[in-house]
Amino acid sequence: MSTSHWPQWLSLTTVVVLGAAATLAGVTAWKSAVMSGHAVQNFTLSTKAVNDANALAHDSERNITSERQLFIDYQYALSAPDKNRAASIFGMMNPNTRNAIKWWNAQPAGDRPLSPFVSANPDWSAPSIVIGVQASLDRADEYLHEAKSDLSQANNLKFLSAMLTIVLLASGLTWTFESHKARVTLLTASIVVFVMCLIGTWWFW
Amino acid sequence: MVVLVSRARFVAAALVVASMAFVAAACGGSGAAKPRVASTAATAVCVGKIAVMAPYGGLTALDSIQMNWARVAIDKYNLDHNTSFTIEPSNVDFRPEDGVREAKRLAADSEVVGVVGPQTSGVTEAVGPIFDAAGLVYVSPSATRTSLTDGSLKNFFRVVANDSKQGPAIANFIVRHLQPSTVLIVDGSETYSTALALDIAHRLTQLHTSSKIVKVQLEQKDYSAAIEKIDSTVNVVALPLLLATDGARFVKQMHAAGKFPEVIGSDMLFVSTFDVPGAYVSTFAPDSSKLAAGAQIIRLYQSIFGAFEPFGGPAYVAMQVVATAADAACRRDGEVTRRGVLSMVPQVRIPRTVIGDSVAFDVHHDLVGAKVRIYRIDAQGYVEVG
Repeated sequence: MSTSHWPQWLSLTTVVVLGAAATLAGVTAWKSAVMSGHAVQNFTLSTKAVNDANALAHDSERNITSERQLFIDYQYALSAPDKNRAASIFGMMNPNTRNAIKWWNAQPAGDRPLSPFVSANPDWSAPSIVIGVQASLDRADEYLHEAKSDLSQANNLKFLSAMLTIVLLASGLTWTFESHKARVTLLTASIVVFVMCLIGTWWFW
Repeated sequence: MVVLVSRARFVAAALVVASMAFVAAACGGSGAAKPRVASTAATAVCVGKIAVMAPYGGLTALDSIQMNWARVAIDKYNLDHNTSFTIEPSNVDFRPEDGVREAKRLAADSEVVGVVGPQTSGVTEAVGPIFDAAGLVYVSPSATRTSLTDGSLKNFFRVVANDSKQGPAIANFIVRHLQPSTVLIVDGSETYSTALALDIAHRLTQLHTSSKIVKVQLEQKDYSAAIEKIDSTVNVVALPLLLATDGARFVKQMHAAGKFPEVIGSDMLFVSTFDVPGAYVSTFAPDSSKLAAGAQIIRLYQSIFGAFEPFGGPAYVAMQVVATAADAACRRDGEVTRRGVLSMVPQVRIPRTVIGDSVAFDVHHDLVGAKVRIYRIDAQGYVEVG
Protein backbone atom coordinates (compact mmCIF):
# COMPACT_ATOMS: atom_id res chain seq x y z
CA MET A 1 0.00 0.00 0.00
CA SER A 2 1.40 3.33 -0.99
CA THR A 3 0.01 6.77 -0.44
CA SER A 4 2.64 8.77 -2.17
CA HIS A 5 0.48 9.33 -5.24
CA TRP A 6 -2.59 10.35 -3.24
CA PRO A 7 -3.73 13.93 -3.47
CA GLN A 8 -2.89 15.73 -0.30
CA TRP A 9 -6.47 16.71 0.46
CA LEU A 10 -7.60 13.08 0.25
CA SER A 11 -5.05 11.95 2.76
CA LEU A 12 -5.86 14.80 5.07
CA THR A 13 -9.60 14.20 4.83
CA THR A 14 -9.17 10.51 5.50
CA VAL A 15 -7.13 11.20 8.60
CA VAL A 16 -9.65 13.73 9.87
CA VAL A 17 -12.59 11.36 9.29
CA LEU A 18 -10.73 8.51 10.97
CA GLY A 19 -9.86 10.64 13.97
CA ALA A 20 -13.27 12.23 14.35
CA ALA A 21 -15.11 8.94 13.89
CA ALA A 22 -12.92 7.25 16.49
CA THR A 23 -13.43 10.07 18.93
CA LEU A 24 -17.17 10.25 18.37
CA ALA A 25 -17.50 6.47 18.63
CA GLY A 26 -15.74 6.59 21.97
CA VAL A 27 -17.88 9.45 23.21
CA THR A 28 -21.19 7.87 22.15
CA ALA A 29 -20.15 4.59 23.75
CA TRP A 30 -19.31 6.43 26.95
CA LYS A 31 -22.58 8.38 26.91
CA SER A 32 -24.49 5.18 26.23
CA ALA A 33 -22.85 3.58 29.26
CA VAL A 34 -23.77 6.62 31.37
CA MET A 35 -27.39 6.46 30.24
CA SER A 36 -27.54 2.74 30.93
CA GLY A 37 -26.28 3.55 34.42
CA HIS A 38 -29.01 6.17 34.85
CA ALA A 39 -31.59 3.66 33.65
CA VAL A 40 -30.44 1.12 36.22
CA GLN A 41 -30.44 3.82 38.90
CA ASN A 42 -33.99 4.86 37.98
CA PHE A 43 -35.23 1.27 37.85
CA THR A 44 -33.80 0.82 41.34
CA LEU A 45 -35.38 4.02 42.61
CA SER A 46 -38.69 3.04 41.04
CA THR A 47 -38.61 -0.34 42.75
CA LYS A 48 -37.70 1.33 46.03
CA ALA A 49 -40.52 3.87 45.69
CA VAL A 50 -43.01 1.07 44.97
CA ASN A 51 -41.75 -0.85 47.99
CA ASP A 52 -42.00 2.29 50.14
CA ALA A 53 -45.53 2.93 48.89
CA ASN A 54 -46.57 -0.66 49.54
CA ALA A 55 -45.11 -0.55 53.04
CA LEU A 56 -46.80 2.80 53.68
CA ALA A 57 -50.10 1.51 52.30
CA HIS A 58 -49.86 -1.59 54.46
CA ASP A 59 -49.12 0.52 57.55
CA SER A 60 -51.90 2.97 56.81
CA GLU A 61 -54.46 0.21 56.25
CA ARG A 62 -53.41 -1.41 59.50
CA ASN A 63 -53.59 1.92 61.33
CA ILE A 64 -57.00 2.76 59.89
CA THR A 65 -58.41 -0.64 60.82
CA SER A 66 -56.78 -0.48 64.23
CA GLU A 67 -58.03 3.05 65.02
CA ARG A 68 -61.57 2.10 64.02
CA GLN A 69 -61.52 -1.04 66.14
CA LEU A 70 -60.05 0.78 69.12
CA PHE A 71 -62.66 3.52 68.76
CA ILE A 72 -65.48 0.96 68.74
CA ASP A 73 -64.02 -0.70 71.83
CA TYR A 74 -63.55 2.71 73.45
CA GLN A 75 -67.16 3.70 72.83
CA TYR A 76 -68.35 0.34 74.08
CA ALA A 77 -66.30 0.73 77.27
CA LEU A 78 -67.65 4.25 77.78
CA SER A 79 -71.25 3.14 77.40
CA ALA A 80 -70.74 0.08 79.67
CA PRO A 81 -69.76 2.22 81.63
CA ASP A 82 -66.20 1.08 82.31
CA LYS A 83 -64.05 4.19 82.63
CA ASN A 84 -60.88 2.30 83.48
CA ARG A 85 -61.15 0.17 80.37
CA ALA A 86 -62.00 3.24 78.28
CA ALA A 87 -58.94 5.06 79.64
CA SER A 88 -56.79 2.03 78.94
CA ILE A 89 -58.02 1.78 75.33
CA PHE A 90 -57.58 5.52 74.87
CA GLY A 91 -53.99 5.14 76.06
CA MET A 92 -53.36 2.46 73.43
CA MET A 93 -54.34 4.78 70.59
CA ASN A 94 -51.73 6.70 68.65
CA PRO A 95 -51.63 10.48 69.17
CA ASN A 96 -53.37 11.21 65.85
CA THR A 97 -56.31 8.97 66.74
CA ARG A 98 -56.53 10.50 70.21
CA ASN A 99 -56.59 13.98 68.66
CA ALA A 100 -59.27 12.88 66.18
CA ILE A 101 -61.42 11.59 69.02
CA LYS A 102 -60.83 14.72 71.09
CA TRP A 103 -62.04 16.86 68.16
CA TRP A 104 -65.06 14.63 67.75
CA ASN A 105 -65.92 14.81 71.45
CA ALA A 106 -65.64 18.60 71.34
CA GLN A 107 -68.30 18.94 68.63
CA PRO A 108 -71.76 20.11 69.67
CA ALA A 109 -74.14 17.16 69.90
CA GLY A 110 -76.20 18.37 66.95
CA ASP A 111 -73.19 18.70 64.67
CA ARG A 112 -71.23 15.67 65.81
CA PRO A 113 -70.63 13.22 62.96
CA LEU A 114 -71.38 9.55 63.44
CA SER A 115 -67.67 8.78 63.66
CA PRO A 116 -64.49 10.79 64.33
CA PHE A 117 -62.99 9.45 61.12
CA VAL A 118 -64.60 11.85 58.67
CA SER A 119 -63.17 14.35 56.22
CA ALA A 120 -64.40 17.26 58.33
CA ASN A 121 -62.14 16.24 61.21
CA PRO A 122 -58.89 18.20 60.75
CA ASP A 123 -57.12 15.83 63.15
CA TRP A 124 -57.99 12.70 61.20
CA SER A 125 -54.71 11.89 59.49
CA ALA A 126 -55.74 9.03 57.18
CA PRO A 127 -56.33 11.22 54.07
CA SER A 128 -52.85 12.72 54.16
CA ILE A 129 -51.32 9.26 54.67
CA VAL A 130 -53.20 7.86 51.68
CA ILE A 131 -52.15 10.89 49.64
CA GLY A 132 -48.54 10.23 50.71
CA VAL A 133 -48.86 6.64 49.48
CA GLN A 134 -50.22 7.84 46.18
CA ALA A 135 -47.41 10.39 45.87
CA SER A 136 -44.89 7.59 46.40
CA LEU A 137 -46.54 5.51 43.68
CA ASP A 138 -46.52 8.51 41.37
CA ARG A 139 -42.82 8.95 42.07
CA ALA A 140 -42.27 5.29 41.19
CA ASP A 141 -44.06 5.87 37.90
CA GLU A 142 -41.88 8.89 37.17
CA TYR A 143 -38.70 6.93 37.87
CA LEU A 144 -39.89 4.08 35.69
CA HIS A 145 -40.71 6.46 32.87
CA GLU A 146 -37.28 8.08 33.15
CA ALA A 147 -35.60 4.68 33.26
CA LYS A 148 -37.35 3.62 30.07
CA SER A 149 -36.38 6.88 28.41
CA ASP A 150 -32.72 6.51 29.54
CA LEU A 151 -32.61 2.94 28.31
CA SER A 152 -33.99 3.92 24.93
CA GLN A 153 -31.44 6.74 24.70
CA ALA A 154 -28.61 4.36 25.65
CA ASN A 155 -29.68 1.89 22.96
CA ASN A 156 -29.82 4.60 20.31
CA LEU A 157 -26.36 5.80 21.23
CA LYS A 158 -25.05 2.24 21.15
CA PHE A 159 -26.38 1.93 17.63
CA LEU A 160 -24.64 5.16 16.63
CA SER A 161 -21.44 3.92 18.18
CA ALA A 162 -21.67 0.77 16.08
CA MET A 163 -22.28 2.84 12.95
CA LEU A 164 -19.24 4.95 13.73
CA THR A 165 -17.15 1.82 14.02
CA ILE A 166 -18.27 0.96 10.51
CA VAL A 167 -17.27 4.47 9.39
CA LEU A 168 -13.91 3.91 10.97
CA LEU A 169 -13.49 0.62 9.12
CA ALA A 170 -14.67 2.08 5.82
CA SER A 171 -12.33 5.06 6.10
CA GLY A 172 -9.47 2.73 6.88
CA LEU A 173 -10.25 0.64 3.82
CA THR A 174 -9.88 3.71 1.62
CA TRP A 175 -6.13 3.13 1.64
CA THR A 176 -6.49 -0.30 0.06
CA PHE A 177 -8.05 0.87 -3.19
CA GLU A 178 -5.95 1.77 -6.18
CA SER A 179 -8.73 3.54 -8.01
CA HIS A 180 -8.99 7.20 -7.15
CA LYS A 181 -12.73 7.16 -7.85
CA ALA A 182 -13.27 4.22 -5.50
CA ARG A 183 -11.33 5.92 -2.75
CA VAL A 184 -13.31 9.14 -3.12
CA THR A 185 -16.61 7.23 -3.21
CA LEU A 186 -15.80 5.24 -0.08
CA LEU A 187 -14.57 8.30 1.72
CA THR A 188 -17.67 10.27 0.70
CA ALA A 189 -19.91 7.47 1.97
CA SER A 190 -17.94 7.42 5.23
CA ILE A 191 -18.31 11.17 5.62
CA VAL A 192 -22.06 11.01 4.95
CA VAL A 193 -22.54 8.28 7.54
CA PHE A 194 -20.30 10.14 9.96
CA VAL A 195 -22.32 13.35 9.59
CA MET A 196 -25.53 11.40 10.13
CA CYS A 197 -24.03 9.85 13.24
CA LEU A 198 -22.92 13.28 14.41
CA ILE A 199 -26.47 14.61 14.01
CA GLY A 200 -27.85 11.49 15.66
CA THR A 201 -25.49 11.91 18.61
CA TRP A 202 -26.55 15.53 19.01
CA TRP A 203 -30.20 14.48 18.81
CA PHE A 204 -29.98 11.61 21.28
CA TRP A 205 -27.46 13.23 23.66
CA MET B 1 2.25 4.61 8.06
CA VAL B 2 1.35 7.73 6.12
CA VAL B 3 3.71 10.22 4.65
CA LEU B 4 2.26 13.69 4.68
CA VAL B 5 3.60 17.15 4.47
CA SER B 6 4.20 18.62 7.90
CA ARG B 7 1.59 21.34 7.55
CA ALA B 8 -1.13 18.91 6.66
CA ARG B 9 -0.16 16.66 9.58
CA PHE B 10 -0.34 19.61 11.89
CA VAL B 11 -3.77 20.63 10.65
CA ALA B 12 -5.08 17.07 10.97
CA ALA B 13 -3.70 16.70 14.44
CA ALA B 14 -5.13 20.05 15.42
CA LEU B 15 -8.56 19.08 14.14
CA VAL B 16 -8.56 15.80 16.04
CA VAL B 17 -7.36 17.46 19.23
CA ALA B 18 -9.94 20.23 18.82
CA SER B 19 -12.75 17.76 18.31
CA MET B 20 -11.63 15.78 21.36
CA ALA B 21 -11.44 18.94 23.39
CA PHE B 22 -14.94 19.89 22.22
CA VAL B 23 -16.34 16.51 23.09
CA ALA B 24 -14.57 16.51 26.45
CA ALA B 25 -16.02 19.93 27.20
CA ALA B 26 -19.47 18.74 26.19
CA CYS B 27 -19.15 15.69 28.42
CA GLY B 28 -18.06 17.75 31.36
CA GLY B 29 -21.51 19.18 31.83
CA SER B 30 -23.40 15.98 31.30
CA GLY B 31 -21.88 13.70 33.85
CA ALA B 32 -23.64 15.23 36.82
CA ALA B 33 -26.84 13.38 37.71
CA LYS B 34 -30.00 15.41 38.01
CA PRO B 35 -31.43 15.71 41.51
CA ARG B 36 -34.01 12.95 41.76
CA VAL B 37 -35.74 13.78 45.00
CA ALA B 38 -37.36 17.09 45.57
CA SER B 39 -35.78 18.98 48.40
CA THR B 40 -38.00 19.64 51.35
CA ALA B 41 -37.92 22.90 53.20
CA ALA B 42 -37.24 22.57 56.89
CA THR B 43 -40.56 24.07 57.89
CA ALA B 44 -43.69 25.13 56.10
CA VAL B 45 -44.44 28.76 56.81
CA CYS B 46 -47.75 29.19 55.02
CA VAL B 47 -50.41 28.34 57.56
CA GLY B 48 -54.06 29.19 58.00
CA LYS B 49 -57.50 27.69 58.26
CA ILE B 50 -59.64 27.32 55.17
CA ALA B 51 -63.25 26.81 56.16
CA VAL B 52 -65.53 24.49 54.24
CA MET B 53 -69.20 25.35 54.61
CA ALA B 54 -70.96 22.15 53.53
CA PRO B 55 -73.02 19.43 55.18
CA TYR B 56 -71.26 16.52 56.84
CA GLY B 57 -71.80 13.84 59.44
CA GLY B 58 -75.36 13.00 58.44
CA LEU B 59 -76.96 10.64 56.01
CA THR B 60 -78.57 12.96 53.43
CA ALA B 61 -77.91 12.64 49.69
CA LEU B 62 -75.29 15.37 49.43
CA ASP B 63 -73.87 14.84 52.88
CA SER B 64 -70.06 14.93 53.16
CA ILE B 65 -69.50 14.80 49.38
CA GLN B 66 -68.17 18.33 49.09
CA MET B 67 -66.36 18.09 52.42
CA ASN B 68 -64.61 14.91 51.25
CA TRP B 69 -63.51 16.47 47.98
CA ALA B 70 -62.32 19.63 49.72
CA ARG B 71 -60.37 17.55 52.22
CA VAL B 72 -58.59 15.61 49.48
CA ALA B 73 -57.80 18.93 47.78
CA ILE B 74 -56.28 20.61 50.84
CA ASP B 75 -54.20 17.58 51.87
CA LYS B 76 -52.95 17.16 48.32
CA TYR B 77 -52.17 20.85 48.05
CA ASN B 78 -50.20 20.78 51.30
CA LEU B 79 -48.18 17.79 50.15
CA ASP B 80 -47.43 19.25 46.74
CA HIS B 81 -46.65 22.80 47.88
CA ASN B 82 -45.18 22.28 51.34
CA THR B 83 -47.87 24.37 53.01
CA SER B 84 -49.75 23.70 56.24
CA PHE B 85 -53.29 24.84 55.60
CA THR B 86 -55.92 23.13 57.69
CA ILE B 87 -59.58 22.55 57.12
CA GLU B 88 -62.16 24.25 59.33
CA PRO B 89 -65.44 22.40 58.91
CA SER B 90 -68.70 24.29 59.01
CA ASN B 91 -71.71 22.03 58.98
CA VAL B 92 -74.37 23.83 56.94
CA ASP B 93 -76.80 22.29 54.48
CA PHE B 94 -79.60 24.31 52.90
CA ARG B 95 -80.90 26.14 55.98
CA PRO B 96 -79.94 29.84 55.91
CA GLU B 97 -80.29 30.21 59.69
CA ASP B 98 -77.59 27.54 60.20
CA GLY B 99 -75.44 29.35 57.68
CA VAL B 100 -75.76 32.67 59.47
CA ARG B 101 -74.81 31.11 62.81
CA GLU B 102 -71.78 29.42 61.29
CA ALA B 103 -70.76 32.46 59.25
CA LYS B 104 -70.61 34.51 62.43
CA ARG B 105 -68.44 31.86 64.08
CA LEU B 106 -66.05 31.74 61.11
CA ALA B 107 -65.91 35.53 60.85
CA ALA B 108 -64.90 35.71 64.51
CA ASP B 109 -62.12 33.16 64.08
CA SER B 110 -59.09 35.19 63.00
CA GLU B 111 -57.25 32.08 61.80
CA VAL B 112 -59.84 31.49 59.07
CA VAL B 113 -58.46 33.08 55.89
CA GLY B 114 -60.96 31.91 53.29
CA VAL B 115 -64.07 29.83 52.80
CA VAL B 116 -65.07 27.07 50.40
CA GLY B 117 -68.84 27.21 50.10
CA PRO B 118 -71.65 27.64 50.82
CA GLN B 119 -73.36 24.78 49.04
CA THR B 120 -76.65 26.46 48.16
CA SER B 121 -77.73 29.81 46.79
CA GLY B 122 -80.15 30.42 49.67
CA VAL B 123 -77.41 30.06 52.27
CA THR B 124 -75.04 32.15 50.16
CA GLU B 125 -77.50 35.03 50.10
CA ALA B 126 -77.84 34.81 53.88
CA VAL B 127 -74.16 34.53 54.81
CA GLY B 128 -72.72 36.78 52.09
CA PRO B 129 -73.06 40.07 53.98
CA ILE B 130 -71.37 38.53 57.05
CA PHE B 131 -68.40 37.24 55.06
CA ASP B 132 -68.16 40.49 53.12
CA ALA B 133 -68.05 42.51 56.34
CA ALA B 134 -65.37 40.19 57.74
CA GLY B 135 -63.23 40.51 54.62
CA LEU B 136 -63.46 36.78 53.92
CA VAL B 137 -63.44 35.44 50.39
CA TYR B 138 -65.96 32.63 49.79
CA VAL B 139 -65.78 30.39 46.75
CA SER B 140 -68.81 28.22 46.15
CA PRO B 141 -68.65 24.89 44.38
CA SER B 142 -72.42 24.73 43.77
CA ALA B 143 -74.34 27.98 44.43
CA THR B 144 -75.70 28.78 40.98
CA ARG B 145 -78.33 31.49 41.36
CA THR B 146 -77.51 34.13 38.77
CA SER B 147 -78.06 37.15 41.03
CA LEU B 148 -75.31 36.06 43.43
CA THR B 149 -72.75 37.61 41.11
CA ASP B 150 -74.66 40.81 40.34
CA GLY B 151 -72.26 42.78 42.55
CA SER B 152 -74.26 42.67 45.76
CA LEU B 153 -71.91 40.08 47.29
CA LYS B 154 -68.47 41.56 46.77
CA ASN B 155 -66.28 38.69 48.04
CA PHE B 156 -68.27 35.88 46.43
CA PHE B 157 -66.79 33.70 43.67
CA ARG B 158 -67.97 30.45 42.17
CA VAL B 159 -66.33 27.71 40.13
CA VAL B 160 -69.48 26.52 38.36
CA ALA B 161 -71.83 27.83 35.71
CA ASN B 162 -74.71 29.98 36.95
CA ASP B 163 -78.40 29.47 36.34
CA SER B 164 -78.47 31.94 33.46
CA LYS B 165 -76.75 29.09 31.63
CA GLN B 166 -78.41 26.16 33.37
CA GLY B 167 -82.05 27.17 32.83
CA PRO B 168 -81.67 27.75 29.09
CA ALA B 169 -79.49 24.62 28.76
CA ILE B 170 -82.26 22.48 30.29
CA ALA B 171 -84.96 24.13 28.18
CA ASN B 172 -82.92 23.84 24.98
CA PHE B 173 -82.30 20.17 25.66
CA ILE B 174 -85.99 19.52 26.28
CA VAL B 175 -86.99 21.18 23.04
CA ARG B 176 -84.28 19.59 20.91
CA HIS B 177 -84.33 16.06 22.29
CA LEU B 178 -87.54 15.27 24.16
CA GLN B 179 -90.27 16.38 21.68
CA PRO B 180 -92.29 18.20 24.36
CA SER B 181 -95.98 18.95 24.06
CA THR B 182 -96.28 20.53 27.50
CA VAL B 183 -93.56 20.66 30.16
CA LEU B 184 -94.43 20.54 33.86
CA ILE B 185 -91.83 22.38 35.93
CA VAL B 186 -91.75 21.49 39.62
CA ASP B 187 -90.78 24.50 41.75
CA GLY B 188 -89.40 23.55 45.19
CA SER B 189 -90.42 26.89 46.75
CA GLU B 190 -86.98 28.11 47.80
CA THR B 191 -84.46 30.55 46.31
CA TYR B 192 -82.59 28.20 44.01
CA SER B 193 -85.53 26.19 42.79
CA THR B 194 -87.89 29.08 42.14
CA ALA B 195 -85.34 31.09 40.16
CA LEU B 196 -84.30 28.10 38.07
CA ALA B 197 -87.92 27.09 37.39
CA LEU B 198 -88.61 30.60 36.09
CA ASP B 199 -85.47 30.52 33.93
CA ILE B 200 -86.55 27.23 32.36
CA ALA B 201 -90.11 28.44 31.80
CA HIS B 202 -88.90 31.70 30.28
CA ARG B 203 -86.64 29.94 27.81
CA LEU B 204 -89.35 27.41 26.89
CA THR B 205 -91.68 30.29 26.10
CA GLN B 206 -89.02 31.81 23.86
CA LEU B 207 -88.83 28.46 22.09
CA HIS B 208 -92.64 28.43 21.66
CA THR B 209 -93.06 25.45 23.96
CA SER B 210 -95.93 25.22 26.40
CA SER B 211 -95.08 24.84 30.08
CA LYS B 212 -96.66 25.14 33.50
CA ILE B 213 -95.17 25.49 36.96
CA VAL B 214 -96.36 23.59 40.00
CA LYS B 215 -95.15 24.47 43.49
CA VAL B 216 -94.11 21.90 46.09
CA GLN B 217 -92.38 22.26 49.44
CA LEU B 218 -88.92 21.18 50.59
CA GLU B 219 -88.98 17.62 51.95
CA GLN B 220 -92.66 17.25 51.06
CA LYS B 221 -93.78 13.67 51.64
CA ASP B 222 -96.83 13.46 49.39
CA TYR B 223 -96.71 14.86 45.88
CA SER B 224 -100.09 13.57 44.71
CA ALA B 225 -101.48 17.08 44.17
CA ALA B 226 -98.58 18.01 41.93
CA ILE B 227 -98.66 14.68 40.13
CA GLU B 228 -102.32 15.22 39.27
CA LYS B 229 -101.19 18.13 37.10
CA ILE B 230 -99.46 15.63 34.81
CA ASP B 231 -102.30 15.17 32.38
CA SER B 232 -102.29 13.68 28.90
CA THR B 233 -100.70 16.81 27.42
CA VAL B 234 -97.65 16.71 29.70
CA ASN B 235 -94.89 14.48 28.40
CA VAL B 236 -91.88 16.10 30.10
CA VAL B 237 -91.36 16.89 33.80
CA ALA B 238 -88.52 19.19 34.84
CA LEU B 239 -87.33 18.91 38.43
CA PRO B 240 -85.21 21.94 39.40
CA LEU B 241 -85.21 20.79 43.02
CA LEU B 242 -82.73 21.41 45.82
CA LEU B 243 -82.86 17.95 47.37
CA ALA B 244 -82.15 14.78 45.44
CA THR B 245 -84.28 12.82 47.88
CA ASP B 246 -87.26 15.04 46.98
CA GLY B 247 -86.65 14.41 43.29
CA ALA B 248 -86.36 10.65 43.74
CA ARG B 249 -89.54 10.59 45.87
CA PHE B 250 -91.45 12.66 43.31
CA VAL B 251 -90.52 10.29 40.47
CA LYS B 252 -91.32 7.22 42.55
CA GLN B 253 -94.79 8.54 43.38
CA MET B 254 -95.32 9.61 39.78
CA HIS B 255 -94.48 6.15 38.48
CA ALA B 256 -96.68 4.61 41.17
CA ALA B 257 -99.51 6.74 39.79
CA GLY B 258 -98.93 5.19 36.37
CA LYS B 259 -97.39 8.30 34.80
CA PHE B 260 -94.15 7.98 32.87
CA PRO B 261 -93.20 11.27 31.19
CA GLU B 262 -89.58 12.09 30.36
CA VAL B 263 -87.81 13.45 33.47
CA ILE B 264 -85.03 15.99 33.61
CA GLY B 265 -83.48 17.14 36.87
CA SER B 266 -81.21 20.05 37.73
CA ASP B 267 -77.65 20.00 39.03
CA MET B 268 -78.56 19.20 42.65
CA LEU B 269 -79.94 15.88 41.42
CA PHE B 270 -76.58 14.86 39.94
CA VAL B 271 -75.99 12.38 42.76
CA SER B 272 -76.50 8.65 43.14
CA THR B 273 -79.55 9.18 45.35
CA PHE B 274 -81.46 10.36 42.30
CA ASP B 275 -81.24 6.96 40.68
CA VAL B 276 -83.90 7.07 37.96
CA PRO B 277 -82.84 5.05 34.89
CA GLY B 278 -83.66 6.90 31.69
CA ALA B 279 -83.95 10.28 33.40
CA TYR B 280 -81.74 13.23 32.49
CA VAL B 281 -79.82 15.53 34.80
CA SER B 282 -78.03 18.76 34.12
CA THR B 283 -74.75 19.41 35.87
CA PHE B 284 -72.14 22.10 36.29
CA ALA B 285 -69.51 19.40 36.89
CA PRO B 286 -68.73 16.68 34.40
CA ASP B 287 -68.62 13.05 35.49
CA SER B 288 -64.92 13.16 36.28
CA SER B 289 -64.74 9.38 36.51
CA LYS B 290 -64.79 9.46 32.71
CA LEU B 291 -62.03 12.06 32.41
CA ALA B 292 -58.30 11.37 32.30
CA ALA B 293 -57.61 14.70 34.02
CA GLY B 294 -59.01 13.59 37.34
CA ALA B 295 -58.07 9.92 37.32
CA GLN B 296 -55.38 10.27 39.97
CA ILE B 297 -57.57 12.32 42.29
CA ILE B 298 -60.47 9.91 41.87
CA ARG B 299 -58.19 7.03 42.84
CA LEU B 300 -57.22 9.00 45.92
CA TYR B 301 -60.83 9.82 46.73
CA GLN B 302 -61.92 6.21 46.42
CA SER B 303 -58.97 4.98 48.51
CA ILE B 304 -60.02 7.27 51.34
CA PHE B 305 -63.78 7.48 51.11
CA GLY B 306 -64.91 4.56 48.96
CA ALA B 307 -67.94 5.44 46.84
CA PHE B 308 -67.27 8.17 44.30
CA GLU B 309 -69.68 11.07 43.70
CA PRO B 310 -68.87 13.39 40.76
CA PHE B 311 -71.13 16.10 42.22
CA GLY B 312 -68.33 17.11 44.58
CA GLY B 313 -65.65 17.67 41.93
CA PRO B 314 -66.06 21.48 41.98
CA ALA B 315 -65.41 21.46 45.74
CA TYR B 316 -61.94 20.17 44.95
CA VAL B 317 -61.51 23.03 42.50
CA ALA B 318 -62.89 25.62 44.94
CA MET B 319 -60.43 24.47 47.60
CA GLN B 320 -57.64 24.56 45.03
CA VAL B 321 -58.57 28.18 44.25
CA VAL B 322 -58.56 29.31 47.88
CA ALA B 323 -55.37 27.39 48.74
CA THR B 324 -53.59 28.72 45.65
CA ALA B 325 -54.59 32.28 46.55
CA ALA B 326 -53.53 31.80 50.18
CA ASP B 327 -50.20 30.33 49.09
CA ALA B 328 -49.60 33.19 46.66
CA ALA B 329 -50.52 35.77 49.30
CA CYS B 330 -48.17 34.07 51.75
CA ARG B 331 -45.27 34.17 49.30
CA ARG B 332 -45.97 37.79 48.47
CA ASP B 333 -46.64 39.13 51.96
CA GLY B 334 -44.80 36.65 54.15
CA GLU B 335 -48.02 35.70 55.91
CA VAL B 336 -51.55 34.60 55.08
CA THR B 337 -54.23 37.17 55.78
CA ARG B 338 -57.85 37.50 54.72
CA ARG B 339 -57.02 40.64 52.80
CA GLY B 340 -54.13 38.91 51.03
CA VAL B 341 -56.21 35.89 50.03
CA LEU B 342 -59.06 38.11 48.85
CA SER B 343 -56.69 40.11 46.67
CA MET B 344 -55.19 36.98 45.08
CA VAL B 345 -58.34 34.98 44.25
CA PRO B 346 -59.24 37.04 41.14
CA GLN B 347 -55.76 36.35 39.80
CA VAL B 348 -55.89 32.59 40.25
CA ARG B 349 -55.48 30.70 36.99
CA ILE B 350 -55.64 26.92 36.85
CA PRO B 351 -55.12 25.68 33.29
CA ARG B 352 -56.67 22.25 33.78
CA THR B 353 -58.55 21.08 36.84
CA VAL B 354 -59.53 17.59 37.96
CA ILE B 355 -62.89 18.12 36.27
CA GLY B 356 -61.22 18.92 32.98
CA ASP B 357 -61.96 22.63 32.76
CA SER B 358 -59.78 25.65 33.41
CA VAL B 359 -60.25 28.26 36.13
CA ALA B 360 -60.22 32.02 35.67
CA PHE B 361 -62.75 34.53 36.94
CA ASP B 362 -64.46 37.33 35.06
CA VAL B 363 -65.17 40.75 36.52
CA HIS B 364 -68.40 39.49 38.09
CA HIS B 365 -66.50 36.67 39.84
CA ASP B 366 -68.12 34.03 37.64
CA LEU B 367 -66.09 31.28 36.04
CA VAL B 368 -64.88 32.10 32.54
CA GLY B 369 -66.07 29.53 30.02
CA ALA B 370 -68.31 27.69 32.49
CA LYS B 371 -70.42 24.98 30.91
CA VAL B 372 -73.60 23.11 31.72
CA ARG B 373 -73.77 19.48 30.67
CA ILE B 374 -76.70 17.12 30.40
CA TYR B 375 -76.33 13.45 31.32
CA ARG B 376 -78.68 10.51 30.95
CA ILE B 377 -78.79 8.05 33.82
CA ASP B 378 -78.49 4.47 32.67
CA ALA B 379 -77.30 1.14 34.00
CA GLN B 380 -73.64 2.03 33.36
CA GLY B 381 -73.92 5.33 35.20
CA TYR B 382 -73.98 8.74 33.56
CA VAL B 383 -73.88 9.14 29.79
CA GLU B 384 -73.26 12.63 28.44
CA VAL B 385 -75.94 13.58 25.94
CA GLY B 386 -75.78 17.34 25.74
